[in-house]
Amino acid sequence: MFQNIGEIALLFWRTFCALPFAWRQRQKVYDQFFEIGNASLLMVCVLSFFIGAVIALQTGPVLVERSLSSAVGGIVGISVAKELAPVMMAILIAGRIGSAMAAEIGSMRVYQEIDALRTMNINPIHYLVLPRMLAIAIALPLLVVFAILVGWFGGAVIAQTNSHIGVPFQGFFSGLKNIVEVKDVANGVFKSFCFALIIGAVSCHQGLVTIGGPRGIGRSVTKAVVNSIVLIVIFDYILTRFLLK
Amino acid sequence: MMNSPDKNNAGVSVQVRGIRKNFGSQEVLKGVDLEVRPGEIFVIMGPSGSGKSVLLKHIIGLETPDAGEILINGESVETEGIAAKYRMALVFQSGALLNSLTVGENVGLYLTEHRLKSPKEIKEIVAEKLEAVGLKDAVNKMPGELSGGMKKRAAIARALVSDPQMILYDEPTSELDPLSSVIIGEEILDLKHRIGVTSLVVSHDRDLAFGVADRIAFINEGRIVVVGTPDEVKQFKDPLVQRFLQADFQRELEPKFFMKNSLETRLGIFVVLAIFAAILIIETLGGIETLRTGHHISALFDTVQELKVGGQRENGGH
Repeated sequence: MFQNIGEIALLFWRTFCALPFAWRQRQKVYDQFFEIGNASLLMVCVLSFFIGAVIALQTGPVLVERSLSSAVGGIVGISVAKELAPVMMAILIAGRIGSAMAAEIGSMRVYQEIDALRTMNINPIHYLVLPRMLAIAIALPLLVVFAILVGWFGGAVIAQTNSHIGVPFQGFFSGLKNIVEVKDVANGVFKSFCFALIIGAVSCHQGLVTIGGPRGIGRSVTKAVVNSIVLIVIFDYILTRFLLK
Repeated sequence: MMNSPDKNNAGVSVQVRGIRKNFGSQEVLKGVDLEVRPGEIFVIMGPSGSGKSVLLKHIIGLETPDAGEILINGESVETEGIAAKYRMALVFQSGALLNSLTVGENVGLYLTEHRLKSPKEIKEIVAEKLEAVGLKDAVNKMPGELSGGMKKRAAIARALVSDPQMILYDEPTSELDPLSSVIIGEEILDLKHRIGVTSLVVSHDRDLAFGVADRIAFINEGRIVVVGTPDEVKQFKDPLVQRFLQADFQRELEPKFFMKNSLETRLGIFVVLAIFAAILIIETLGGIETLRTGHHISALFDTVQELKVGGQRENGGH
């Protein structure tokens, strides 16, 4: 486990050092970015709509009962922006994109394609890891912005239509505006940026250390997803603690 | 700074000194020493699992030895920037084409990634190299659409695109039909004569080895057994080398033929043989007519009767 953490840290550092070569890889970054965004946007919207809706449904009736209907928007708004959207989207992307990254790089490793790159003096970190890390680091925060907006909308729809809540759109958003600040949204977006780096580094590392045949690739994919989710939750606590000040 | 294909094209020399390598508890290379001269075709032969491919990976820098050193033109292969200084290419046994790229993109990858030519020039070079290996029409195909032999030829085209100073071939003719093997062998010879490239071929194809090699090394269990010209290796009096060079398939005919047939067939063969044997015996004794009339048998009975009668007379006489 400690060896893996050390290797992931080293990979992350090497990728960081390769940043000056990023412009050369812009086409690959664009391709990966399109892949991540295109593959996940609809799923992100559906997931975040229902996350907002569920939060409104859980908190709305309790607050309205205690004559706190003006707080429904604020509670839904802040919980979606600061916690639920970044974490849930990161978990979704770890499952969808992290697994694909580990599988693709893992199969390239197993079928000697990475060795072939090295014999051509092409650095696999520049060619494979850097474009993926950059693409996910840009795409996940953007997806989280979408997720926050759609989550708020989902909460507002349920707050208005549910008979136990009955808070109108205007009341919901005015309550949200009173509590949620721009820095709360920035907080969530920053978290998602950190989660993106975790997903990218863990998935690419698992791909690069794949051994064996198809079974080895399957094992790498599982490890990439599980390790990413565990690290996301741990770092979520650390980042939240750090950003609370 | 990359060593561009337009620069120095002379073949390079390789010195391997005391290379040792363990994978876990298994010692794969046990102190290998050999020297490859610039521009020669050097073939490494040996049984499967003898360490040939591992040695090749050490020479190109994909593996690091536990002990010993490898020198390219006198410089250690572990020196920083050696891969950029000398153009070396490895043709993998499986081809190792990037499956996400077309054949054309695979062949031009070295030039594209190192930005050594303009896209137009790269396109022309790719077409020329693919034509040289007989894959002119495969430029836009994906590697998955190619046969094993075509993949290998595409991998050779990819290796050629950098005008390498040394090409390493890992089992270049495995999975190929005899005609394709001959084409690959001719291509290796042609490259030596045309651009003076150093070629290091790992193979257990005896026809290829003795057809193209300037010198051959025989490796067994991680040790070099013999190095010499093809004639010297042929003459080398080592039982393993001789067995390897003369191994041939022997068909075992008679016992296998009878045993591998079904019970019914075996019974049929037995009946036919029995009839044949019976005919032979009968003919030897005087033919079927004799048997029918019982001539011989009645004669035999007569003789026995006479002997009996004679015996009784003698007894009565006493």
